[in-house]
Amino acid sequence: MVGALMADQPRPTISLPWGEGLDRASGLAVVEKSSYADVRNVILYDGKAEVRKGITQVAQLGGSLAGAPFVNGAAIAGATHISIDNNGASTLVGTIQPGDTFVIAGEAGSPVHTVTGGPWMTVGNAIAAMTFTGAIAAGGVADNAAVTFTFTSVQDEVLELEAVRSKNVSVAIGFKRSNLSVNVFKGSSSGQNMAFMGAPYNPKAAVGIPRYFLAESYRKLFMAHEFQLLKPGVDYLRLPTGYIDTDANTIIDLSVDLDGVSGAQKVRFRGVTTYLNYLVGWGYGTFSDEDRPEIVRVSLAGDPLSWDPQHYFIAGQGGQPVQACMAAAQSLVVFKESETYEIVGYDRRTFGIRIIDHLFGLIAPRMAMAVGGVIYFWSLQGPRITGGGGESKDLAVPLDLTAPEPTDLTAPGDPAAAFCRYDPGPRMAKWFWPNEATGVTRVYGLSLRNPTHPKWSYWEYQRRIRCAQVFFPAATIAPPGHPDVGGVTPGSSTALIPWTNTAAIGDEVTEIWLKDTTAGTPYYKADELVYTGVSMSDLVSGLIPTHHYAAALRHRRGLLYNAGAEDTTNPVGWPAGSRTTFIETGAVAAPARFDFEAGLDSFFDAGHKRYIRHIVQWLIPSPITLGWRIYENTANVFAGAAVFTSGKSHDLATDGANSGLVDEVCGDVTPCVSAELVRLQDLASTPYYYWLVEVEGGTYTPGLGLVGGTEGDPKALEENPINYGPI
Amino acid sequence: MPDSIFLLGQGGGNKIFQGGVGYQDDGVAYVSRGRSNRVAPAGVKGEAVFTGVFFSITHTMAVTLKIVPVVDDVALNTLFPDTYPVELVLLAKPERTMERFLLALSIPMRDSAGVDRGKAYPRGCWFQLLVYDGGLAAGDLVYEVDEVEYQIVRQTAQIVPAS
Repeated sequence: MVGALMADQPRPTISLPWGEGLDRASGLAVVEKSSYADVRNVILYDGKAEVRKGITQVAQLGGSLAGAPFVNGAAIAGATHISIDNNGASTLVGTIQPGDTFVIAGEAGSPVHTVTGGPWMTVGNAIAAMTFTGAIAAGGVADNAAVTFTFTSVQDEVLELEAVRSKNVSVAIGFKRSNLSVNVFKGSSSGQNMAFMGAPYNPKAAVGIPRYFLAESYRKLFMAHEFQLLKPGVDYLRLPTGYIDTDANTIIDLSVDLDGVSGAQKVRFRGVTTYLNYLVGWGYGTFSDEDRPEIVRVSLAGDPLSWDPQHYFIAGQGGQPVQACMAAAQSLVVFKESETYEIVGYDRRTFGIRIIDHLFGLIAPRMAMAVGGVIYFWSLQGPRITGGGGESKDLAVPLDLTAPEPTDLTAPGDPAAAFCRYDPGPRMAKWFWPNEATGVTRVYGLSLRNPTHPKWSYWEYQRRIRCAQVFFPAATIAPPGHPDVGGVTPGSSTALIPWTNTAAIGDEVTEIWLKDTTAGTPYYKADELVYTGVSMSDLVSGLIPTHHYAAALRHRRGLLYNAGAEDTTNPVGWPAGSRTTFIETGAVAAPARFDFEAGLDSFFDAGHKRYIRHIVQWLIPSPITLGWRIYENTANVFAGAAVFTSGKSHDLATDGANSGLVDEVCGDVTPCVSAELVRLQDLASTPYYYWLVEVEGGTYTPGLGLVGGTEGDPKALEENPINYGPI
Repeated sequence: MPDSIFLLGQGGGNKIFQGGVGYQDDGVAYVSRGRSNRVAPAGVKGEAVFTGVFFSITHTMAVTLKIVPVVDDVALNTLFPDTYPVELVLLAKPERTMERFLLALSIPMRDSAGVDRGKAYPRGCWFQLLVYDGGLAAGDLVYEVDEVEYQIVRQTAQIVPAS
């Protein structure tokens, strides 16, 4: 094997250009010398092989926070929002999703608070006015108290990704193993800033990790649970087909009357796709004959929510399931496991179905992809190609799939979890075979730079990849205009902000940023709305009465912002027309009544002592959420008064009966709030005076926040001073 | 800014990855590699001495490439671990630069004192070339073409490549 070099003479060479890719099957005598037996992690083009780039995290499903968070500004008892920051220490970066929980060091009883609203993203190492349920306990929390988060929103699997191009947003489907929940997130057009939308479905444990087909049709994103067994027993295993309205942040079951007798019922398609202006669903018959895996249905043209019971196709023999449908250039190709059909025509009059391949079908439902009107798919015998109209053609020969593989090539995973996508960057069709045991994903990559001479290579992703998608950030053109803000209509805790979208393209997202200048908080993004017209407005909430606010608006397309508004940390520099200021009304309008309900006083005994209970009630100015305190003093002077009790008003429009603070004693006087004042009788030998004080935000200013009277003049109490004399 | 981006969703985790970024997979290294098909420059049952490999690389990346000759299905690093793999050290370049190298495949013959007394070359019928990187870094790396240099010792009928 090893020999001495013979005569020193010009020596010939054999060229081995990398770019020809894999050819493992042609045989030693005829194989192209320039081809390779093993090529990994390269992009093939022009006779070359460029090492592929890596993958890096750009988003996540669920909250996370790097760094140590602290309370930024003390919060009083009853508060339902706090601000957090890094207390000048470590960098604080991350996102907190609704449903995440936290506890605050030093809070009485260590209650667990659950985040609402959001998602709350750090800006400049801080999050302002994060809302939550489970009000701050008695005694409040101190400034700079440590906050410990539990990110219950974190998903265990990213099931599917989709670009909703009509809305210029993205949608991700996550799965949580602990409670078997399918969760929907919405993000930017670049797939970032994923915000929790809802948890519409809970698959049975027997389903395992669900798989989904997603299809956008007429501004809605339809989601079908890809699971072959519909209802093998009493319970459904396949989940209902739903659709996502990314504007309303709702997920709605698709309900259709498909047999003409059952009325609108939930539909459970195994998959959905679009073809022409139809939505196509397969694998479901009717409510009275559900398990029809060979059925392919089409919606009415242009209306994916309307389905005619008679508009369906039967693909081959009954009981043999349709794996997937996919649009080719001139037809809709219908794959079964070992045969292929196509639906030709363009409307009900011309539609027809025929078999085009008796031998080859689709190995698993997510293993076909359309590129340029041609479908590349993986059959039981390996990869093939079809454009419809006839039998598919083999692409598998160079891979020599039945021969021994390179010994150190990562093992492929279960075909049921395998999927494929076309990656337009390297111009490569990729079949992903994620391996749950190794956590690595084998990819068969087919370079289509020259579609007439496709070339194979292996890729090995060092992570288990469950799904992939191409996204189109609306980033090539920055928003050409900007929002011109109009006159704000402030309320006591809300503000209606109108604006005009000048020079808009029509797919801009308008971000509304606010700053509480009274409290000195940093700017925070209060809301964002997708373009709906030239004139728009937004009602922002959670504001503090009497506080001064600055508002700044900007347009976003993908990752780009309108000129001058690129700096998130300093909206002061944004275009002048996009900024304004306003003052929340102080409007904690004085309660129309603050007194004690006649006849509702009562006595009760506990612990060998007698107590007296009074019901106090007051009107609130509007259905807003406000914190309150009642102070008491033995003199008719506010100075020196101490907090007797506190609580939180509730939105009576939606929460009138269950707050525990609002009850029927208000009678016909609504909206109102009532509270119990309970005193040990023998301690109340002298009159007590009470003041109702608005304390939202924790910034009570004596004399200013006093309502129902002024210092020394607790008006209501003058009418009914409390005097608990000895019995 | 690319017109499109390719995002990948994690199984067994909650991450969304962007493809085509960096030189690791979420912090984990991967290896580029190529193993050519076998060639028999002296024909089937012929013999040749394989003297060197011409390497054409375009790169900005600082990287060490490792080259292992495989003769008659035996990877020579298993027999001569001190010699193979041959290492080709590439320094970082500010812009894409094509470079061509000739790597000798000779094996030093040393006496018991470790002094070089001569050199030998791999000899056999079938030749393959195994190339892989020794750890990727930031930048670009493009494998252009490899050429194996040989000298026929004993020739049989030349195989005819397909097409």
